[in-house]
Amino acid sequence: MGDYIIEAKGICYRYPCGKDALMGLDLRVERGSKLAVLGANGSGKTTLFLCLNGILRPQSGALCVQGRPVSYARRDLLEWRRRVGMVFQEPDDQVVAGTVMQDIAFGPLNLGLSHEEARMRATDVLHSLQIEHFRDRPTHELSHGERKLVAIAGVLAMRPELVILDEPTAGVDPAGAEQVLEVLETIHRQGTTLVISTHDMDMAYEWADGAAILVGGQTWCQGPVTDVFADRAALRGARLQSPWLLEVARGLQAKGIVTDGAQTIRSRGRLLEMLAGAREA
Amino acid sequence: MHLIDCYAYTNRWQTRHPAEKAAFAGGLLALSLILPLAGSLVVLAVVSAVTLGGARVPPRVYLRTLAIPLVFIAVGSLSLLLSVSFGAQGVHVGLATDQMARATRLLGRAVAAASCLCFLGLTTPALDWLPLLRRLRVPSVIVDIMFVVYRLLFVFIERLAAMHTAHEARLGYASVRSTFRSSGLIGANLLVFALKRARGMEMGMAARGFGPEIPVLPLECKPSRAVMAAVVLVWLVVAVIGLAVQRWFDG
Repeated sequence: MGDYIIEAKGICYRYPCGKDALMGLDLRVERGSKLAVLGANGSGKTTLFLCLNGILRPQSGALCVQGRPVSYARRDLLEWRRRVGMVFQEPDDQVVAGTVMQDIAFGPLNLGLSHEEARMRATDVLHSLQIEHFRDRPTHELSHGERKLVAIAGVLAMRPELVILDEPTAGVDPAGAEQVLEVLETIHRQGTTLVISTHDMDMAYEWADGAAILVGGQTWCQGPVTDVFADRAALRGARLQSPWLLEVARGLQAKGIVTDGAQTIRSRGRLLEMLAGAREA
Repeated sequence: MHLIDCYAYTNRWQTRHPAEKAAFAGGLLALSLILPLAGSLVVLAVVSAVTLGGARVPPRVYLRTLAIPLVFIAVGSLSLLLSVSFGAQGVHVGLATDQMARATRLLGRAVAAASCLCFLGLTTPALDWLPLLRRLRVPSVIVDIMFVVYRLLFVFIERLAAMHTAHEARLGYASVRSTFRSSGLIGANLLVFALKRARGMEMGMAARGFGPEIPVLPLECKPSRAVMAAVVLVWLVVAVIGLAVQRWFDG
């Protein structure tokens, strides 16, 4: 039995309009892991995330944070949201204040921290994301990518143990996406558990250590990235694709250029090493 | 809107404490209403000089901002000059020359008062008001609404611009008829967008532990005593000069 920071067992959520978004979904997030939640549009990723943060309340099923069933009492919700931070896909939903400083301090102040403490935390986060120069800028002047970083900073300032990010790199330019991933790498190294949703299979394959595929409000499969991506047919069935790295590795393996399993090639660097090794041999 | 906001963040006095600027503008606004016409004109001169020379707002921007209320003020003052009478020969519209003094006084006061507000708008970022208002114990509902409105204003402007461009790209404004139709569509879509955004923001704020009221960080600086004293001095000087000029003019 692993150490699960959050666990969903058979949760169902139906929107007031009658649409069933989650239909008996299971998900386990191990402490210290990097989990990618994959799935087609409308497969329930965002609804799941809103449930994991206590914003939507599943009509049935069980949700446990740190092994304890959740409670929706105000005090417990606050503690839950301090532990589990969520970054929305649309930064405009999350960036509430007019200046960056005010916005990042919003969460810490809601936790009841003093003004000085909130200001200090905001300064720390700005420093660690290397966006100190944003400090006094009005939020409406920031670009979409910059606003996304501010949204992430606002969540990190609450010092969560688990951060859930809904499509953190969508709509952000390549340099911005890289910056977001670097930030995630940094906080993961500091011990934060991460869950992201994405349509970018290449990024998910290189970045995550676990993956879950959602289809129609249920978990199609969850496991180590290499296992989940191994089944091509399953991927296609979920309206997803194999990452290019895996495809190339498979091709090289079929031609006998690479002898190790295709799944061992998890990064571009590794691929190049293998190719160089194959040439020498 | 964008123009005012832009200068509020870039003028030389952006970082001065809002209480200093509010005292300056508020005091002179009161004086422009209390003092006779000459006093209002002195207020207008002082505020204009301070906005242009002190805060270094470009004259073009200042005049453009002042021009907006000026239109309404002009219409209001001119209407005082018209006299309408219903006689045996029907409706008679004439110029009420006896109202000239009243109209000028109204014009002078209103322009001076508007210039004080323009000074505030152009020198003080709207968000600086929030900590100040919270400090002054303004009911939290009002401060919360200001907080959210200011943020959403820009979200909506962005959306409005995007929709306008999209309509333009499909010839939405090619004729009067299509202009009406496009504008109607924009209005309807903006309403739906606003409701959706409100729901999204509600969730976004909930995810960040939003409680009974929106927390606002206090300003890091304090109003300077010297500046406050100088502001009071300016009030007195303006009042004295205003009254003296009026006496000289009358006598």
